[in-house]
Amino acid sequence: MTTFNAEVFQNEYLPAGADTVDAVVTVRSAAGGAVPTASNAIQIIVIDTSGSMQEESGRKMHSAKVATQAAISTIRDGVKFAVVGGNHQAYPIYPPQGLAVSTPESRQQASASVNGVRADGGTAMGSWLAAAASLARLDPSAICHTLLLTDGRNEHETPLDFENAISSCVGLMQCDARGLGAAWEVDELRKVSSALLGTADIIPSPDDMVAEFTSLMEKSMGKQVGDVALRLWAPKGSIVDFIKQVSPELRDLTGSARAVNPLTNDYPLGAWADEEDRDYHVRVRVPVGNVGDERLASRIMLVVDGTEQPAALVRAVWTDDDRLSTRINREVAHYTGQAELADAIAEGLAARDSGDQKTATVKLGRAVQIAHEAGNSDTVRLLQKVVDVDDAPSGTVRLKAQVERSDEMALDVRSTKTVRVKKG
Amino acid sequence: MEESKTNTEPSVRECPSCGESASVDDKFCEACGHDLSVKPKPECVACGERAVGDEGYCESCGHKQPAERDHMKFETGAVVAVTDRGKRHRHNEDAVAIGEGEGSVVLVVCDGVSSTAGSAEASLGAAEAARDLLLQQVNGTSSEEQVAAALVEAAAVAQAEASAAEATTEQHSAPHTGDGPPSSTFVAVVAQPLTDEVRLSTAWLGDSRGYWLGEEPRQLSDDHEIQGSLTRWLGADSGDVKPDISQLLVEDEGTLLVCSDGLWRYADSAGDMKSTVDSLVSEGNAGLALASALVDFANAGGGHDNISVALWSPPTNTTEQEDDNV
Repeated sequence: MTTFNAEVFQNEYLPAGADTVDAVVTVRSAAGGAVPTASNAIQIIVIDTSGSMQEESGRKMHSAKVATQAAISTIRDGVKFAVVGGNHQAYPIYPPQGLAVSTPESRQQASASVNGVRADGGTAMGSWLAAAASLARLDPSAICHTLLLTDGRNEHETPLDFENAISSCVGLMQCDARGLGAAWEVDELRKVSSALLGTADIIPSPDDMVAEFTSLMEKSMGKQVGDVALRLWAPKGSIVDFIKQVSPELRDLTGSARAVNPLTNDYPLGAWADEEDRDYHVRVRVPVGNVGDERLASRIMLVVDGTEQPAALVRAVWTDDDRLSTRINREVAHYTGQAELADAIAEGLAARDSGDQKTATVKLGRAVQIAHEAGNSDTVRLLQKVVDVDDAPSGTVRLKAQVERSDEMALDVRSTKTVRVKKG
Repeated sequence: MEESKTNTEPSVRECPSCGESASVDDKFCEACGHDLSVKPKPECVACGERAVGDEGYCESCGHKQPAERDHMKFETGAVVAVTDRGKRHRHNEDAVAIGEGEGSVVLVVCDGVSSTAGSAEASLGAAEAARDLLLQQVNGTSSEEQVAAALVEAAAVAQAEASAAEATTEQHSAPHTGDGPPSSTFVAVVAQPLTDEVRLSTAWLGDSRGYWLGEEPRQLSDDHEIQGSLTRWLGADSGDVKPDISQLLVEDEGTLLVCSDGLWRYADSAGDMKSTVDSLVSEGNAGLALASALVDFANAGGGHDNISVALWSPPTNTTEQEDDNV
């Protein structure tokens, strides 16, 4: 069985009267040795087959087919799988009904079926997700992963239908959503990925399809443990301001709390691979203690299939020694900066869209400054496609007059990706 | 050490689950099957919930329960002592050890230096080793020279204990800023009630003190300290562990007081210390209650350091027996 360990980074010392405790918890899964039983995994691939996929002389559709076939070839024997086509409605590509069990033969049949797909119709992603959910329900005990590809906006259903469909998938499956080209909406895919514990990203060119699908499938096939939750105890009278994943990317978990008892909540984390690291930032406000008192501010543990794994303790110690209470914890400061970076990018792009050049320049300049300082080199590169950087350390930038929409989208959708604390 | 046991062990108890009465010998409740071997959790000192978990935190309010060492009381015959964490330090690195021998009493206070990890272990080991040796080697008929020699030997065994203490690394990053080995002060007083007087023999290293609070109050030790820094101490990095020794015969009624600087910084001179004690006595405090009242006095003054105090009053020869039923 996979085991987890958790390590806490914090400055536990609070000045008299303070109530806010910040901590970063690093959780690492250790290889348990047991080979995953492939039969309890479901892999669903949903590909956009709307009419727009036929653009560029069919190049998009063709690339999607080749990438899907590459993805199918990575599915381990014994895993249940399905390929679903999506336009203004969802329909099975393979198998004709339900789920297939992966064998060399079934994978070949699936690839052949993908060849026959034609691009036609509109886009209603909610109906695609609903179809995937009904497949996941065929074996609720399985780890279900869905890979969703779209190239366009969700035009053929109401936003409410879309959101209801997303909600119906929560707890049933995880979903990584990918947008091909630049005609889709970042917010729509982000809604899917954040609710379904997956990732969202852009695939700027059809040429990148195969590499992206293969890498996503490899990650999916590596997931060993499905039903993992973070269990957070906080003392009576306290308020959990937030609990968010901060690495490998930002994900606010605060709203996904499931009450275990009045002082304890579970936050679903989805599936984990062996030897995976994730960092969480928790901020709790606790009843103020006297100088010299110590209070347990949080106990954080991982729950795997209902079994609690060892806990990490977040503490609060009140002191009148300023040297202690003013210490800055490196991890907490770093991830506070990473969250500010994501906010600065989002606010900067929004200001730019609305024509507020002044705010856009300030915000994107601040983003450059943080990214430069914290070592987010990928983010710096993305920012440089939107702004000309005069001086990164001070965040002095000028907005570019001409920006490729796909570059702006890439910056937007990847703004939540974080880097870990620089060592040394 | 203050395991509160009720004197009367009831033969019947209540099932904590359903409330039915069950015999103390029952392993399970006959009514509901509740496992009676599971002990109820201890009560939280802060919120009163029976919710203290194995890690020492209340599982309701989160309050860290005090460590045993945070506040300890000792009473051996007429000798009493209290040691307390104070209000500013996370841990109590002071230690006291007291004992009553044949015709002599022994009071030892060691103040672990809080800037070096492991000092709590150093001070405790040192105090107890010194006390044990003195009780073994000194009695009411020991000569002045014999007591002095025993005190030098007591300091040596205390030094052996202190320098053996390992610089334990705290589980959680404790605010130990120093990186020296564990270290501690040392003061030991042997009191021998003679026919008409009491012989007080004091050995010390560092700034923990002895006082005789009689008609003419006096300080029995003279701090090894220059401008806030100790010049002698116990520990592996100590250069000079030869204690200074003072010996004194007192005839007046009074109280022997041995303490760490956590107390005397709020009543430095012998006169101040005496008036502090007198005023607490006039409020009805005696024996262990007086020692506790002195700790409260230091905490009320700020409790900036660990506080330790040991007290002994020689029995008086007056017909109306003074209360030594502490």
